[in-house]
Amino acid sequence: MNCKTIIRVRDLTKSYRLGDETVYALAGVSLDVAEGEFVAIMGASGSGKSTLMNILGCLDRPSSGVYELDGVDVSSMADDDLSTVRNQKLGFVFQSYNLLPRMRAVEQVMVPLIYSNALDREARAIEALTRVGLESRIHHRPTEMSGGQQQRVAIARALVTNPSVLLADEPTGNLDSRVSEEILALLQRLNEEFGVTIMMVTHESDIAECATRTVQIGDGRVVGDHPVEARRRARHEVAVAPPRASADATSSVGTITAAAPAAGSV
Amino acid sequence: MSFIDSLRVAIDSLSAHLLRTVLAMLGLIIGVGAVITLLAVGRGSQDDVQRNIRSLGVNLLTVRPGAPSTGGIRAAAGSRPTLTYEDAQAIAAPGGVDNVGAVSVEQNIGIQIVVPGGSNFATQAIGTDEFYSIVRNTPLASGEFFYEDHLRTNAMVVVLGSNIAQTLFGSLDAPIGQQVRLSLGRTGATFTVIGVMSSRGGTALGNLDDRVLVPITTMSRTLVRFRAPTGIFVSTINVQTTHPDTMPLVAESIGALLRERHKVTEDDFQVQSQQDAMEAAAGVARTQSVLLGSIAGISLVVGGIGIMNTMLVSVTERTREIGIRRAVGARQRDILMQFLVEAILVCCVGGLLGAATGIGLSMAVNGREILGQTMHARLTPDAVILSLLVSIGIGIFFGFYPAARAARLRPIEALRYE
Ligand SMILES: Nc1ncnc2c1ncn2[C@@H]1O[C@H](COP(=O)(O)OP(=O)(O)OP(=O)(O)O)[C@@H](O)[C@H]1O
Ligand SMILES: [Mg+2]
Repeated sequence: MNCKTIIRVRDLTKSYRLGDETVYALAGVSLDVAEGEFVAIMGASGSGKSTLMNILGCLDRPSSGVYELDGVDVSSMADDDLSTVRNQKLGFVFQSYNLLPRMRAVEQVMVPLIYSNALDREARAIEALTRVGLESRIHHRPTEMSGGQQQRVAIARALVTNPSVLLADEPTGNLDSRVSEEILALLQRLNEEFGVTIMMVTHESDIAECATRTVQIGDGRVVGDHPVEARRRARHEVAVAPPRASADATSSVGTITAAAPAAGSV
Repeated sequence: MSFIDSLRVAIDSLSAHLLRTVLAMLGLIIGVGAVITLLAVGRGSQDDVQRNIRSLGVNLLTVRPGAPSTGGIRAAAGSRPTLTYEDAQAIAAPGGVDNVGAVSVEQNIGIQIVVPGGSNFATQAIGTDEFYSIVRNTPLASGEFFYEDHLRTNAMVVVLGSNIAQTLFGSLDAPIGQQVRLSLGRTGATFTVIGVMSSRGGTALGNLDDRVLVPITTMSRTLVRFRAPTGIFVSTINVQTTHPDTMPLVAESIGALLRERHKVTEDDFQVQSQQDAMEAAAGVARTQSVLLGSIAGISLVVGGIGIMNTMLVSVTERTREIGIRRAVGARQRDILMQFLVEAILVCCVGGLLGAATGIGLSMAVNGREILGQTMHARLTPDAVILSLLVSIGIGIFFGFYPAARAARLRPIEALRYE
């Protein structure tokens, strides 16, 4: 196993002033994540999971504490340097996909490459889309894709710069269970086959079971940290492949019935 | 992020909101169009003035009473009379001043012209001599001009401007041989019309077609009755030189001769070349067109504010997009560039459309009769280039604040924006 520490967090706090009161969204989090881990972050609503992820993703700054990413202290970095870190070392996947309106999938995935002045943008974007299984949707716009497909575009966008860490805040929160499994299977495969370090926030323990480790957050603190004993395989192959094949084989009615629960559960 | 990338993003976002983009541009289009049109019309009227002055006679030196001033031709107008008809004759006389062609004097007075049993018309009489028609480059439409004899004998003859002839007699031929009465206050006399000048049209110096020409000697004897010991006062001596190159030399010699005749050491007159007059008049026209241009420039500023407003709306609307771009690695200056390029692009396109509008308007206006005046518009590349540069400047100036606001947004807040 690879044991290089990629994320090192010590006594991280994040406080907000609301009137005279100081609210601690994070009240001293310490955490180490090694390269190649797949960490599921769990906790009650309002416990500070998103706050932690935003700080780890360099989208927000901590009020105090140390955050070292890949051996570099990022908590005191200048804004431009943080942009570079986000661009090169981090990939962020949001619950609400956060794709740019009107853009084709391939263009969406090229956006991070624009900011790193990469040359072979299109080829790399297509490669990333292929990795998430969207090679047949590269010219689709967000409005022309399902939620699951949009989230895969977002994952491809997060991966295209080969980041050290992929951060995902409730990536399946807007998806029904079947599509959630697809996304989970994808993340699992990325973690296992490509060795991508993943941190994922989730509310559901069966989703967390797909990770290699779960971290429990409560009231802005780490209240639990366990390796996953029996890692669950996301039901990708069984769930996705056969319905698609049967839909092709039988009739269009199959497609409609397959789509119906997806629409209902959003 | 390269400039090309910024440009591509800008084009995408502008074309996605085409109507809004066009509306934002509208102020600028109108502003640039107005500036270009007004500058072209200004240039056109500048040309008109110059053409008029040039048509008054070529190689012309104008001598006027009064000390030379640095302020241009008008400053000295109405000065104490010092020049006389005899001065003019001395300049023209053999051995007077070399390289001189025709010399003619002018003295303007306001008079009433009365046709027996007919109408009555207030106008200007120009007291002049037999060389006026040559020096002023104005041929006769009918009849004949003054002779030397008319001047010598104080003949009671007049030559009418074409307008007066038309108005009082109905045609350019009818007045010949007819009597008219010119009166100035209580004095007055009856004259025989011997000629009618051809039409000159309005000029920068007033409409010569409304004037009546009288021999200067007759005018001084019968109308003004004012004669200095030194001779008959005149307001202008026009001196034609034989060649443009000799003008400075001739001006010098005229000065020397007049100082000697007036027995003064400091000039009590000024000699102006056609060039000077043209420059002074062109200066006036230039000031006018700059003034008009500045007024139109205000609409450019208004257009700029319109663009700023649209950009601010666009930034607010795209807060989330800004957050996403920041999340995947855009630096503040990338966002700044994106919005700045967008604003500049809007202004460039608006400027180009405005320039097209201005060019079209100028061409449409050129040669048209508007409010009784024939308009002339001359387009110059510098006006077009200037307004395009100003457009880009407006884009930078009014685009900067919205762009800076976009760039300053904190990534997490931009992402959370609903
Ligand atoms: N901008 C803010 N200003 C004030 N308080 C905030 C702000 N952002 C977050 N908080 C507070 O910090 C706490 C943690 O919020 P956070 O979004 O991290 O929770 P979470 O664990 O992600 O919850 P959920 O599971 O519902 O997404 C909450 O109590 C929230 O009210
Ligand atoms: Mg959250």
